[in-house]
Amino acid sequence: MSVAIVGVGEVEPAWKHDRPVLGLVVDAVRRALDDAGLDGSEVDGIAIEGETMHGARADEVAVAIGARDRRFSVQTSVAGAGVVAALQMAELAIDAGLADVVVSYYGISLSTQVGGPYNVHAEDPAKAAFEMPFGFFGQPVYFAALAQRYAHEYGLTAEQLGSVPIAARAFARRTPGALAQEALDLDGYLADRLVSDPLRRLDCCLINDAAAAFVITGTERARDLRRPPVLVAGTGFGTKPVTEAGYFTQNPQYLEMASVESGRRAFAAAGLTPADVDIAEIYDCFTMSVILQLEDLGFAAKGEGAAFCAAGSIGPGGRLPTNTHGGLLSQSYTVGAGHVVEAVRQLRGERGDGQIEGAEVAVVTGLGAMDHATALLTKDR
Amino acid sequence: MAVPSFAPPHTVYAGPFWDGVAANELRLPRCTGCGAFQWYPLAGVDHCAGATLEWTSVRAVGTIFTFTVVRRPFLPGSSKADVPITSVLVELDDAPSVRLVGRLTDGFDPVIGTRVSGEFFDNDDRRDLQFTPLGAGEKSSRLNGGSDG
Repeated sequence: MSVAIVGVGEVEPAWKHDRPVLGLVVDAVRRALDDAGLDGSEVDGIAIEGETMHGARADEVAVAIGARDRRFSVQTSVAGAGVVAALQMAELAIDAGLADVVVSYYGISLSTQVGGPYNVHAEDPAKAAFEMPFGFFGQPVYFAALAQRYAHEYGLTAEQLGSVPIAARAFARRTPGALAQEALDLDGYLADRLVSDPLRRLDCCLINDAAAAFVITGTERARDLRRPPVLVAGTGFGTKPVTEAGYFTQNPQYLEMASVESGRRAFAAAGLTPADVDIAEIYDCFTMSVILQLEDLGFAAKGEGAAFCAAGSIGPGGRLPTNTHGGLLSQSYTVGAGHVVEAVRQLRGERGDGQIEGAEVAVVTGLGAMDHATALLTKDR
Repeated sequence: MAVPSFAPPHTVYAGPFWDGVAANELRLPRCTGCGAFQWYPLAGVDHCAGATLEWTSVRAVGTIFTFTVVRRPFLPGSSKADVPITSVLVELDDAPSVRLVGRLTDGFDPVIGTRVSGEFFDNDDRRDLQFTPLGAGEKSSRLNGGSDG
């Protein structure tokens, strides 16, 4: 347990923020530093996602917070995978003596991004050449095709899919500031319109503006800071041997994500097993990603993830409370950074109405197409 | 149902595939060294060192691996008139390692495991490709009221 998360911060998620991403990110970082009781001048490392975050460069954030000696600086992987893998980079840097205080952040302004969330795929030459002319375009379409194949191999009902956003919404209603707070039951889910069969709008994450940040330092120093440290017990990273362009069509293990590899590595590094985990913060860009990752991580057998969710396992009172802030589906599209923040707050016991009793071990995951990262976080016992 | 209005870009990267379609052929890049198809091709990269990629004609025949009926217009510049579209991933008989993205011909129900065959047709000012279930009969007869049998 060499490093710990000592501070977390976020700006309130909003459908639209008037400020650029940089301003949102700097606010989130300042709040995380304040949470830790650290000054920006003490930050000597920055570790961030490397591909999809635009407008919040490490140099600008470092100057804004007054970091004087940014002696470790790294960008890694894609979207949620990069956000969670940044924890691994911070761990490596601190263990190696390359940095003492590492800041990690993610910010996004989908309200101002031309082409919205789909633009990242529209810019891909392979998709423009070989997919879009046949109507195969947009993240909901990719995950809908996964769902159809899953239904073919294992069976999948609308009730099973619906159990995922219903659980997320129940947690969001216990989370101040979560963007989707309206009560949701199965009737409400079934009445929702289909976007790409079999997925409904409610199977898809929110689209909004957000920023969140966390601060990591060595465990010894962490114990002298303002908040109880949350230990980074183990991290893991993995990929599927396909390109980002080809991931959603050519992945040889079509119904597996690289959570198989990253999860195995993270659990091994932490010396823990899925049975030790109290809460799960699982990258939930779509309901299908939750189902597949829960299987890949070992919480349910392959093909049984949908039934696991529908049995009430992931909701309030379930055996594996999952996305206890509402996740990307109901809290905010913070691309995994919100999942890290939530795990830390749960393990500190700070979540008020949303607190999961006895939460001592959390698994946090981030997905970015072929890449995946898993982190196991624990209370300082 | 609808035909996507999104035309492939006129680029060096997209060209060989769509030149094939214009010639009523399905062509895929195959390594002259090991014989494997490289899908999707990596721009400017050969599969095996010292070998080259040859765009090779294969039969447009295969099996539906998965599909989705797209009901919301996600494509840039598209509108509600452009959906629904049934997109399919087809496992090709002649290139089993490839899952080709395609579109199912209007009027057919998508079912995983269905054998399909590609047909080339005029879509505005370009040739296009769509997949029809094998043994389903002529599309025109269905559109004129043919039964599902």
